Amino acid sequence: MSKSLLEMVKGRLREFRREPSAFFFVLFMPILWMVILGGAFSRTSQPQAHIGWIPTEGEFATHIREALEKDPHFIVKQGDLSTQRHLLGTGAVDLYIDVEENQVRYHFDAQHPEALHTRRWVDESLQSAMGRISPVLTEDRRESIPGSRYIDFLIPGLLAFSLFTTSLFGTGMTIVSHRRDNLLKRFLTTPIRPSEYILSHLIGRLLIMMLEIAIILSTGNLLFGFQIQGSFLAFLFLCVVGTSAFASMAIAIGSRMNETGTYNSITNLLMLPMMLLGGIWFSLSHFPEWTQPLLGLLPLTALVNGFRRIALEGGGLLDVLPQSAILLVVGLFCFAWSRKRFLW
Amino acid sequence: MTPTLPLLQVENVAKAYGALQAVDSVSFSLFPGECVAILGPNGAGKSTLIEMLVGLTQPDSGSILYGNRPLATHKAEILEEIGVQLQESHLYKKYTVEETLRLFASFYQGPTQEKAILTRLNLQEKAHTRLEHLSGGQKKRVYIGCALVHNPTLLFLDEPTAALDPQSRIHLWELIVSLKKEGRGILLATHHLEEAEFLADRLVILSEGRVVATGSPTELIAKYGKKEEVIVRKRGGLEEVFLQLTGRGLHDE
Repeated sequence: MSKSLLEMVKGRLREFRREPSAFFFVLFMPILWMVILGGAFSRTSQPQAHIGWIPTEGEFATHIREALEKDPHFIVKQGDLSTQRHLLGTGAVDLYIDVEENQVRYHFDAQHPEALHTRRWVDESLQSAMGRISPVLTEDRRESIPGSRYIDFLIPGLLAFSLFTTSLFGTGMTIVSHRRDNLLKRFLTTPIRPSEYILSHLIGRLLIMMLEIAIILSTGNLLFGFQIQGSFLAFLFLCVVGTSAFASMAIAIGSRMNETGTYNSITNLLMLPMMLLGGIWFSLSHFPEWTQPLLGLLPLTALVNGFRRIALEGGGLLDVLPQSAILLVVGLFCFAWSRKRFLW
Repeated sequence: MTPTLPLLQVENVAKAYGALQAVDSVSFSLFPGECVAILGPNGAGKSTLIEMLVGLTQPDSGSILYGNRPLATHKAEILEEIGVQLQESHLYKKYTVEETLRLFASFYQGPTQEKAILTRLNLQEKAHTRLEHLSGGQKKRVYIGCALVHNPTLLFLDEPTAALDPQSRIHLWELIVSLKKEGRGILLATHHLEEAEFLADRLVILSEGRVVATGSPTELIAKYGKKEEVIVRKRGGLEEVFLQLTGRGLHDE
């Protein structure tokens, strides 16, 4: 590494160290997401559903109410029809129940998967309580296998998202502000090679990435027992390829701009759809089947899928070749484009 | 006796941006130990000219020679020998003075002089202070320090004393005079007529991209200045020269 490149890489790390917002986004934000979402979806107590009950006179209604209140899976909220409609509308209950003569009526939104699930659950509980005998003998055995929890699904997604956002905002924004401040022009009046400046951003980004993954993975392990089931080297390889691709994207986006506001808007425009369609928070299987191969081509989705293949399914380098190829193509294309179009 | 080769020789350099002829057939030369000031109102083409001379912009026509080497073919080695302070160029505000000088020193192959520059620019006590905590005058000194860190033979200074208080300005003037005495060539772009008169051996006055006059301050005052003003205001003469040559209308639109 040349003297000038080394000094510029040290400079990248210095800028990161001395910028409180960089510290916040790289180190604090992913941990905050992990703790909030991990905490919310990792309850060890048994799951409960909120259901509404319209008080009704009569023996049958009393039996039903008592059966519901006896089942520890349900939290029953009593109130008249308008109260129940309000509770359902605001999501405070998944469904509400009223009884007329010997019939139980469930009121719920049939398009809402959670409500449908609760309806089946309540019905099962009531039928059993009222004496139905199931013809098939069954037994429930609850298991918590590492890799099957929501937090295991979430952490690879969060890591990919973190590498994505910090590359886009860290690298690109710095370049744009250097151009705005005429610093790039000033560099061009010295003998440094322009490619060294771009390379210093890539190398600096990769070094910061090491810190990022170390913190996210070790926090995930300490707080939630998260573990990578597959090859750690393959995981690291994917981190390097993904970060390089995202940093190249950032350099390409910022290659001609000199307004940080414009850069911000374009990056947000790019980031929001990828954040929603990247499979970070929920599985892509929720999307229509025909869209899934297309979504898999998005660079963020490729990295998320690759991370999960290794971390959850125990994959190795060969298992993530398609994802690595997508990221390499994106990275090389953006880097080549930047080299050609970069405005100093 | 062999005539000294100019450090910089500019011949018929021109640059147009669309229909706008930013610089039109500009020629001048600069010798060792000489300070040439480029004067001109806003939009006269000073910054475009400097950008061409330091290799940031390609001229449409004309030649730029450093010694006898064309800039177009010897850019890498020429950049090792020149120091540049650009107008409105901001360095990393989170770096300390020492880190900034070290960064710029790393760009050059030859020996560098970070420590000596700190002393020369009276910045020893600020060596570990970040740029964001320096005064305007101190920052300008750091900018000039970055241009001097590799001991250049030719220095380009674009508005080096803009927005400085009189004390800081005089300090920088003294520095520039001492650099001249060491035999370095200095190309100074300025709006500040008093500065040009104090520092420059020769003036190149630009208007609408063209050279409208060249010569020493004394020659130009004698040629264009009103005699009574030269007598009454010792340094007021150059202002009159400037206004006569470039007009009295505003140029900032």
